[in-house]
Amino acid sequence: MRFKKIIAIAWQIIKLLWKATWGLLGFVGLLVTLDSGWDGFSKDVRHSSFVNFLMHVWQALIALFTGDLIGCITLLVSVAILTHLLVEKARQRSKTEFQSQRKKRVPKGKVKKK
Amino acid sequence: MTDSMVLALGLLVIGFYLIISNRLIALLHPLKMEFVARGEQLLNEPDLPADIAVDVKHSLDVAYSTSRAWLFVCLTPIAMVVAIYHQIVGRTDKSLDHVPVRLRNSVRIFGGVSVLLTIANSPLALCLFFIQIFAYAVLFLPVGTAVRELMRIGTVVEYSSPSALLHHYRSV
Repeated sequence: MRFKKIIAIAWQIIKLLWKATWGLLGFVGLLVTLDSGWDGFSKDVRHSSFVNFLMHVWQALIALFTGDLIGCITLLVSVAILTHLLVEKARQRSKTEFQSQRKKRVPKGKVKKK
Repeated sequence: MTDSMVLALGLLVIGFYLIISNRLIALLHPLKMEFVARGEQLLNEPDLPADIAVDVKHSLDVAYSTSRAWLFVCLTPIAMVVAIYHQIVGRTDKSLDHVPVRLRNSVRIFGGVSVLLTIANSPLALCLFFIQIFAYAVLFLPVGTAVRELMRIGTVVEYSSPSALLHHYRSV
């Protein structure tokens, strides 16, 4: 019995650590991306002319996010986490309605009191 | 492949997945409302056996669980092996024999819908599940029996998981 309880508590701790890891990874990912991409961004803007300004803005944006492969991958991870959070929000909305629908139903045989 | 290509491809994949996930949630929402209505209707049946009622209630409780979706996807090959074994030895499904005949079909449909709706909580899991089912169907394997086995095996695994144990200890 005690062993099962320990497993249950350990499982809860693993779940918490899993969530914390994702949050930390997202935060660090954004920091690393911005840091590694900043040099490329400033360099591109420095050499841009007014005529092909838009072109250079695009290049600068690419440089900002692709300072190196690690920056690129960490940005993708960050975007993936944000995406996950957005989808989760939509799912929570649906789930809330689902739960309220369950609570609303009165079991057969029971009459609502007026 | 250059960094920008990796970035563009990654963003494309993530964007596509986001759109698919959101569309899937919107698409499944009315079906889930119908599912909860059917589930509650079954639970209100006085003739419904207690073990089936527990399963129905559990299916409603975990209707939005993504981990359950992945569990089902991972257990599909095992369920298929079990289904093939049962077919070879000629064993018939007797799990619903104690359910009244008028409810048997509803319980069966509810179980199948429960599996599909749960797996659809994750688009990737749904995709993998259908690839597996398609492969089995092409090989003329017993897909229907496998889905029924999947429900049974999935429930057994879930009831013996640490999470279920924790829930049990909280409720005691």
